[in-house]
Amino acid sequence: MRRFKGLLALLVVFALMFSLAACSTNNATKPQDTSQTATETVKTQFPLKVTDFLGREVTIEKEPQRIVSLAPSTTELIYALGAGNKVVGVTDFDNYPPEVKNVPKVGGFKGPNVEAITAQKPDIIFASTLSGKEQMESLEKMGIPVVMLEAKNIDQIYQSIKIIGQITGTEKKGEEIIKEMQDKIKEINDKVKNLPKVSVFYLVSLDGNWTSGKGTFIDELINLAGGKNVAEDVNGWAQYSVEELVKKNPDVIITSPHAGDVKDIKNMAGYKDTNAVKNDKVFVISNDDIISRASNRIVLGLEEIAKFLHPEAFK
Amino acid sequence: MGVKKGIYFGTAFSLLVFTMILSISAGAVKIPLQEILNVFLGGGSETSRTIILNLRFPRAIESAIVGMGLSVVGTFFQGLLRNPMADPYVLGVSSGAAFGATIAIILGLGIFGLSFMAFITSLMTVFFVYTISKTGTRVSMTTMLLAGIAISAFMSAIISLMMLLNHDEFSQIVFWTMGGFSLINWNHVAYSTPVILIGSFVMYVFSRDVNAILTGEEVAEHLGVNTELVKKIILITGSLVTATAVSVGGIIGFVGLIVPHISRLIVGPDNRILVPFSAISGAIFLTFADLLARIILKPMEIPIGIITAAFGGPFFLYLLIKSKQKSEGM
Repeated sequence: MRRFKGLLALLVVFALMFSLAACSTNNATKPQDTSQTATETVKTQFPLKVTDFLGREVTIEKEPQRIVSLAPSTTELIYALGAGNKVVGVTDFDNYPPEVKNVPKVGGFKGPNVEAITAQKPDIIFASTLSGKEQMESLEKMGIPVVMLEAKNIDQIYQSIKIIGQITGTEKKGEEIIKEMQDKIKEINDKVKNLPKVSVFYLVSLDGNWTSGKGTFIDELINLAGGKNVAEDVNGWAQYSVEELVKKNPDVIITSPHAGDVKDIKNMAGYKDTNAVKNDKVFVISNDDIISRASNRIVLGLEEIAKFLHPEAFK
Repeated sequence: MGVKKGIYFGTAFSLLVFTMILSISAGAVKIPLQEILNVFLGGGSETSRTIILNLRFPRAIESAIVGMGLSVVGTFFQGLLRNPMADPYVLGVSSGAAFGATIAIILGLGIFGLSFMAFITSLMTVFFVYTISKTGTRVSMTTMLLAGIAISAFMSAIISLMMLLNHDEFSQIVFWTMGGFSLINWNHVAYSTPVILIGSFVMYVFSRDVNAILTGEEVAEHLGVNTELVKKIILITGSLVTATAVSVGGIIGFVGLIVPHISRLIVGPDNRILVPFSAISGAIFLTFADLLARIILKPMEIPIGIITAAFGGPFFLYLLIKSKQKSEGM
C-alpha cells in the first residue's frame, strides 16, 4: 500500500513536471542572442557557437551527422527541416512523422537513458528542460554538445527552427517554414480578427476537470483564433472549478480526444447549463499534439480551433 | 454515555452542521448570503441555482458521506487487524480500484463505466486477498496484511506498465488515483449514500463484539463471540463501503487512517462510542478538506489527496514520535 502510494507520488511528480515544463511561461529561458542566426544565410561555418534556450553558449565543432532528439517537438522540426535522416535517437513519446517509429528510442517516461544515448554515438543532442540536468551534464562531459530547446510560444518556435536550421545546415528551409507559418497565422487571423470574440473552455481531462490556462500554446491559439480562454485566470495546466465554469458560461467547449466521452461531458452537472452544451458547440480536437507541441504543425491546430470558433469565416 | 461524552458529541455534531453550511456557502464563485437564501426559497438566478443546488450541495453531502464511511472502516480495520497502520485500503481495495479505473480509461468506457469497473475490480482484489489468508474456517490477520501489501505492489506495477504503453491517458489515470469530488452530482449521492450508511450501520452493530476481540480472540470466544463470523462480516462490509467510496471519489488517502486515531485520543477505545464519533469526525474532516481544495487557489482546484496528506502526513509522524516516547518512557 505504502509502496503503491510512493509510486503514485512519483508518477504525479512526473506528470506535474510535464505540465509545468510544457505549459508555463518562463521568460528566463528565452534565447538571449539570436540576431546572428537571423542574418546568416550562407552555409554554416564550423566550429559554430549557438546560444540555446538556457542562454548557454554551445560550441559545435563540425556539422552533426548523428542527432539525438529528446523532445517530440524538436524531432518534428528536424524532420520538417529535412534533416530527419540524421536522427539516430528519439523518445518513447515520438510519433511524428511516421518514419520516426523506426528510430531507436533512447528515453521516455523515466527520462533519458544515458547509456542508450551514448551507444548511438551522437555528435549533437537536442534536449529539453525535462531531459534531466544531471544526465545532460554527464553527456556534455563526454564531449557531446547539448543544445536546450524549450519554446513556450509561437515566436519561440521560430527561434527553435532557427537554431536547429543553423546547426543542421538547413537555414534556408527554416526560413521557408517560418514564412509559411507566419503566412498561415496571418491568413487565419485576418479572417477572424474583426469578428466578435467567442469565449472558450478547453477540457484536457474530465476527471479532475483539467484545463489549459494562461501561458499554454492552447491559450495562445484560442486568442489567435478569435476567442477568449475562460480559464486564462489560471496558469498552465490546472484543475478548474466547475462552478467557475458555470459562471463564465463559455460559448464553445473544445476537448482533447482523451478528455472523456463527449456524451458524459454534455450530461455533466454544471456543463449541462453552459451555452456551449445548449447550442451544441462542444468540439473534439482531432489530435492534441498539434495544439500542445512546439512544432510547425501548431498552425494546423490553430486552423482547426478557428473553424470551431468561427465556422462562418471559413465557408 | 456520560455528560462529557455528550458534550463531545454535541460539539462534533454542531461542527458538522456548521461545516456543511460553510461548504455550501463558500466556493470559487462568490455568491452573497441573500442569494443563497433565495436559492433555497426557490428563487435566485439560474447560475446560482446550478452552482448551489447541483454542484455544491451534492458535493458537500458526498464528501461528508465518503469521509464518514472511510473513517468507520478505518476504525474497525485498525481494531480487527490490531494494527495502527491499517486503513480502509489495507486489503488492496485501492490498488484494485486503480487497476479497474486504468482499464476503463484505456478502453474509453466513460465516467460511469469507470466507477463501475473500479468497484468490481476492488472487490475482486479483496476477495482474492481474503481467500489467500483463509485457512479452513479461520482468517489469519497477519497473512491478510501481507497479502494486501503484496497484491498492491503487484497491481501498481501492472498499472505503471499500462501507463507506459498508453501515454495519452496518463494524466487521467494519475489524477483519478489522487481522488477528488470535482464532478460529483446527485447520481453519485443517490447510489453511494445508502451503501455507505447501511454498511457503516451493519459494522456498528458489531462494535461490542469487536471490543471483545480487541482484548484477544480467545477471550472473545469465551465471552460467546463468534470471532470468525464477526471478522468476515466486518472485512466484507468494510471493503464494500470502501469500494463504493473509491468509485465516487477516487483514492483519498489518510482520512481512514488519521480520523480513527484522533477520535480514539478524544473519546477512548470503546467502539460503541468511538465508531459514531469517528463517523462524524470523518465527515467534518473530508468536507472541510474538500472546501479547502476548492478555494485555496481558486478558480483552480487542487486534488483533495494533497490536502488530506498535508494534514495526515505530519499528524502521522507526530503519532510515531509520541508512541516512541511512550515506549522509551516505560
